Amino acid sequence: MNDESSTTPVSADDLAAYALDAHEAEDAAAIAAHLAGSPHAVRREQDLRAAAGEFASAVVHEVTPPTTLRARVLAEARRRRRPAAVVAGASPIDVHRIELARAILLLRDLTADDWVQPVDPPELAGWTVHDVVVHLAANESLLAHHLGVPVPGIPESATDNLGRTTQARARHADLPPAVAVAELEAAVEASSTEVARRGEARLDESVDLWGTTVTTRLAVLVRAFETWTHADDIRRAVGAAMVVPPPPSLLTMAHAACGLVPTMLAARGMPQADRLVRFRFTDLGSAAWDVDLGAVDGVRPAGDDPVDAEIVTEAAAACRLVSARIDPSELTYTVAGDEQLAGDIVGALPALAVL
Amino acid sequence: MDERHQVSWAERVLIERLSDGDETALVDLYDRYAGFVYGLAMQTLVDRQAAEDITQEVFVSLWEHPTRIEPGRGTLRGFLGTLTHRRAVDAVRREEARRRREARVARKEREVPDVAEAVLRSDTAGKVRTALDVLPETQRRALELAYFNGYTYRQVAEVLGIPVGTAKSRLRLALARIAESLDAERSERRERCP
Repeated sequence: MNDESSTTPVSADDLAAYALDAHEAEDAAAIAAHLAGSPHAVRREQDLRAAAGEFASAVVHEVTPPTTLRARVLAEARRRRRPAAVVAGASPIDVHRIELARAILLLRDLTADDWVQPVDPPELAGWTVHDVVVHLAANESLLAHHLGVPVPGIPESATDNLGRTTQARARHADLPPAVAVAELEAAVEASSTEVARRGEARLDESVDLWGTTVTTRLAVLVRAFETWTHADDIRRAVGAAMVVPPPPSLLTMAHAACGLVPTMLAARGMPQADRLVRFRFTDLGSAAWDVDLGAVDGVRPAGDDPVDAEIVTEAAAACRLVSARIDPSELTYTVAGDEQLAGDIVGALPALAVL
Repeated sequence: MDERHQVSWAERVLIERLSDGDETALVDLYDRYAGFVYGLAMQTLVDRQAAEDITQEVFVSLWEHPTRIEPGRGTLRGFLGTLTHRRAVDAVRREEARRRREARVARKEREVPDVAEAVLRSDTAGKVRTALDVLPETQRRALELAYFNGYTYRQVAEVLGIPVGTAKSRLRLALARIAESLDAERSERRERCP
């Protein structure tokens, strides 16, 4: 059977051999010439080549490469193309999209054994990896619902964090984990597309989040934060290394966390009016913000004003404390100034952590 | 190729990050796929150093030219498989590599993975198990020789003692059967997962 001809007749058998890289060297020029003149043959060859790739993806034994190879690859990559410089925090739209996407890729690689592993946060006692993913899907579909783009086929009606998760866990009890992943991906595709469509200018519009009215900006950042945190819960459960968001995302998350410090202190019954504290993050190029503890949204780039205390620490660790994944005593930090105030702040950082 | 073979939303986000020069995207890509790329290179080349070089080249070339990924042309894993296999076969066919490989032919024949066994252990076993189950042994053997030994269709014909045209036909039929099976499996999964 000959394919449509341009210069040299090439059969479907030839195309299949070519797609498997099983052609003879002397055939290559003739086949390439044929493909150059036949869009139809190009499509067929690409489809066959893609099928060969999918075949490999399904049957190849994964082999862990030598640990030194990772550094070699990154060094050579940097030499050939310079990575983008981190000059500012990422948009909350991107922070949300990227963390959800990273989580979904993680979930797609889990084995059947991974899905039934218990997770370790005390507040999730009795939960498996599967339960955590159902929880993530439930909350993302709730955000999509509140953004006006509900995910078809999601029957949960509760609009609070715990209630919706309880409903979703009951429905998913007899469903395979792949359903939860698919629902999570459908929900984030809907929510992130909608937020991106609205654009930066509308990030200050109000949206409901678990019964509280917040800005869209904060809602998507909370979802990103929550997803990163739970993805790391899953990584610990399956024995994988925890990860940190890309620097521009971490910058935005750390900035948002700093802005919530007055609320955290108030939640712990320790409001601190007329005090100014500076956070400096060593893992973000010493990025620093001053936080007016008596003001809502009192965070601003570090300036020349004298501060009551300067807390120097890692943003990733501070964020893990905000999400109550480490204890205040586990945060490594240094203080210049009022150590008592700094200690109170560090102790209050997990105050807003929820399920 | 229909949408069932396309890169997923999450993979598209990863590709966008690569295009934006986000180095952590390369780290994510490497951490997720290095075992697959290195495993495929090892299975084709057997030579550890060559497999490392191929793995490095695959990831670095993707970092250098992320726009070469065609989201409409299969999954990201499949695309990486294509890149890796092509480079591995090129390496195998270089004269020196060929000498090394031929010196190991007998051993390598034993080392070629049993595809059916691999599929049973694979997390994505459902994708191709059916296809391999129904593939005639003659087609399966031809595919294994071409894919994992890096043989040309003429070499496949020689090893199997069949006419060249028959070898090519067996490769085409095996590949077509797998493509059909992947389509069917993904359709089924879409129906299960709204």
